[in-house]
Amino acid sequence: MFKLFRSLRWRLQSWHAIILCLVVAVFGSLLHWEMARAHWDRVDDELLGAARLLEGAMNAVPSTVLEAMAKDVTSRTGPRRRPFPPVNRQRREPTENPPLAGPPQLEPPRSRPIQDWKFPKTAAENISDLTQEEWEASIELPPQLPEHLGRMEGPAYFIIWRNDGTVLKDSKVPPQSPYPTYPVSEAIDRDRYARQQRGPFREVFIRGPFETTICVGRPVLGEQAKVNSMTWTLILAGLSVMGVGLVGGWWTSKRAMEPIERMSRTAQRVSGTSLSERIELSGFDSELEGLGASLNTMLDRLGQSFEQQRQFTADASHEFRTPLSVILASSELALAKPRTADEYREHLSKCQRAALRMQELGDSMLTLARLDANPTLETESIDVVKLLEEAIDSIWPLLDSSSLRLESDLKPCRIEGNRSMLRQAIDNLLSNAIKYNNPEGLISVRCQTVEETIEMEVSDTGIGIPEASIPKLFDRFYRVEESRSRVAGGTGLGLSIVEQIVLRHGGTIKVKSLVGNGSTFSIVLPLKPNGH
Amino acid sequence: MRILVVEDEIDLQESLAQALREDGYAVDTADNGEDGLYKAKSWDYDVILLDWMLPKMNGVEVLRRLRREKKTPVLLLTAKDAVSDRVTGLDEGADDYMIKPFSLVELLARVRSLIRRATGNASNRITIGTVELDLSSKTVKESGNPVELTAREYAMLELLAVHAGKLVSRTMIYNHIFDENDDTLSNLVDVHISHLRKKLGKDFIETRRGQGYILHV
Repeated sequence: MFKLFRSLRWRLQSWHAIILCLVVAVFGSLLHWEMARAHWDRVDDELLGAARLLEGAMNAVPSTVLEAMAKDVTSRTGPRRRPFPPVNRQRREPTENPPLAGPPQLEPPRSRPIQDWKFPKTAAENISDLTQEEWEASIELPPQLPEHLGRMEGPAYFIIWRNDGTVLKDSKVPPQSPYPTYPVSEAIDRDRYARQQRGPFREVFIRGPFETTICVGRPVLGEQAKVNSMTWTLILAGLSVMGVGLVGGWWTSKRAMEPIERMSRTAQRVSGTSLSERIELSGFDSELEGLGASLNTMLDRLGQSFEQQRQFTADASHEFRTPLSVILASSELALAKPRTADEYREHLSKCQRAALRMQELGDSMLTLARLDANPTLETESIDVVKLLEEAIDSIWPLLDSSSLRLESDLKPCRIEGNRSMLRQAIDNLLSNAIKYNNPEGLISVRCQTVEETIEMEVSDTGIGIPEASIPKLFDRFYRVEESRSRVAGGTGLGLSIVEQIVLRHGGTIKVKSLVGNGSTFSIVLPLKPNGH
Repeated sequence: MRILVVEDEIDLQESLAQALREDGYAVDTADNGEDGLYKAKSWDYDVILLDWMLPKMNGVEVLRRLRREKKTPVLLLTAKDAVSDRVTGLDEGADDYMIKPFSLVELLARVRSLIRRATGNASNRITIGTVELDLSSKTVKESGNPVELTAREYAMLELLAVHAGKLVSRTMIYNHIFDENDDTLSNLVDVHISHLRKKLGKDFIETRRGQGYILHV
C-alpha cells in the first residue's frame, strides 16, 4: 500500500486531482454566480418596470401637490424628522390577501398598518395642508400597474416615500411580513436605482420625482428555491465531473504506466539464463516504445554476447574432455594390473601428450581472455623485418627435421605495435603453415610497406581450405575438419588469436586459399594503431 | 565377442582397444568415419564403440548409414554433453551414449550390457546344466567348482553360452572370437573346443559335423 503512495502513478493522480478540483471549483463558482445574477436581474427588471410605472404616475401628480411636497421636504428640520418606520408597531392583520405560502416570519412586525399611520400633524400643518389621505389620493396609479404586478409570482407590493421617510402611498396589499424600512442608501442617489434582498423579499428602489423614493418588491421564495436547486445541481455536477475525472485520470495514468510496468515485469524475468525475453512493443511510436525498443536492442546484444560466451564455454569444456579422457583411460588401464616398464612408459607418454595439449589449450584460452579483457594496447616501435626473422629462426629446428622449405622476401617495415602480440600472431601463422603443408611443401613469408600500412603475408603449399570454411575460419574452436584431434593437433584457437591481435592493432586479415594448392594469410596493419 | 572401436584420437583408441582385449574381447579399430563404416558393414560386430567427432565422416553419419543395413549395438562416445546432442545421438540409432571423459570400468559394464541385451539375456549369469558362467567377472564354475579357462577358451564358451540351444557355426566363431589381426586360417577353433571339453565334460559341447557347435540347455 505504501508502495502505491510512493508510485509515480499515485503522484500523477494526486496532481491531476488537485488541478481538477481547482478547475471544477472555479468554473462552478463562476457559472453559479453568473446564472444567479442573470436570474436575479430578470426579477429585478420586472420590479424595476413596475417602479418606472409608478415613477410615471408620480410625474402625473399635479405640480402644486408636488411642489408642496417638495417644499415640505426641503424646509423640514431636524426635530421634525422622525424615524420611519417606527419601532414596536403592531403587526398588520392579514387582510383579503391570501397568506404567503411558507415564508417564515422572519422578524416581529415593525411597521404599523399604513392606513393607521398619520403624518404628524404638527409638522404637516406647519408646512403643508395636505393630509396623508389627500396625498395618497393625488397619486393616481397607472392603469397597467395591477396587471404588471399581477404577472409576477407572489403578491407584489410597492411603497412611495417622501424622502423624509413619510409614506406617500403604498400598494395596500402588503405581504404578511413588514414593509421595508426607508432606505438611506447612497447607492440609490448614485445610480438612481438600488436593489436588495430582504429575507424572502426582493426589492427595487428608485428615486422618484420631487424628493420621493419608490420601492417595488415581492416575495421570491420560488426563485430562491430555484437558485438553491441550481446550486445543488451545480455541486452535484461538479462532483460527478470530479469523480469521472479522477476515475478517468486513474485509468489514464494506468494506461500511461502500463508499458513501464510491462517493461519492469519483463526485465524481472530476464536473467542470465533467459535472455530471450523481449519487451512487447505495441507498434505506436511513443517515447516508451522507443525506450522499449532500445532495451530490446540491448537485450539482443547481451543475448548475443551471452550466447557467444556460452558457446565458448561449451566448446572449451568439449576441448578439454578429449585429452582428459585420454589421461583417465590410460591411467586407469595402466593401474588395472601390474604392467611391464615399457607399458607404463607408453601409458605415461600418452598422459603427457594429453596434458601438453591441455596446457596448449589453456594457454590459448588465456591469451584470448587477456585480449578480450584488456582494452589498452601497449605499443612500441617495431622493426617488422627483425620480428619476422626472429620468428623464422625459432622454427628452423622444425624445418631442419622435415623436408619443408622456407623462402622470405622482407622489405624494410616499421610500425607501432605490441611486440609480443605481433610475434604471437606471426608464430601462429607460421605454425599453421607448417602443420597444414605438404611434407615437401614451401612456406613463403613476405612483408612490405604500402603507403600508410604494412603488408605481411604467410603462404603455404598445403592442403588448403575449402571455400565454405573460410567465413568461419576465425571463429573460436572452429576447425576445417570436424575432428578435433588430427595428427596436426592444434587447439582451434590459433587463428582467432591472430585475428584478435590484428583487429586490436586496427588492421585486417584476409585469406586466399585453393584446396590442394595451399593458403595465403595476408595481414594489413596501419603504421600506428591509433591512427586508424 | 568382437568389438569395433572407431576413434580418431590414437592414444585413446589404443587404450580402449587394450582395455577391451584384456577383458577378453576381439577388437578391431578404425581412426576415421569411412574406415569405421566399412568395417562395421563388413563384419558382424557384437558392439561398436563410435566416436562422434571423426575425420572424413562424423559418427552420427556413420551411424545413420550403418542403420540402413545393420542392427549392431552402437555405443556412442563423445565429448558433446548437451542434452540435445545426446537426444540426437540416441535418435539416430545409438544404443547407448557415454560422455568423455569416462571410466573404463563403466565402459566395459555398458559393453557387457549391450551384448547381453543383443543376445536376449537378462542376467550376467548363464547356467547350462552344471556349468555356470558369470559374464561380468568372466569366471566359470562347474558344479560350484571354479574352472580355469584361457581368455580365448572363455570367449568361445561365452559365445556358445549366449547362443545356448542354437547352432554356432565355425565362421561365426571365427568372426566373433578373432580380430582382424588374428590368423583365422589355423585350426584354433578345434583346439579350443577340445580344451573346453576336457575341462567341462565330453558331452558339454555337441559337434555337428560340417555345421558347427551347439550347447544344449
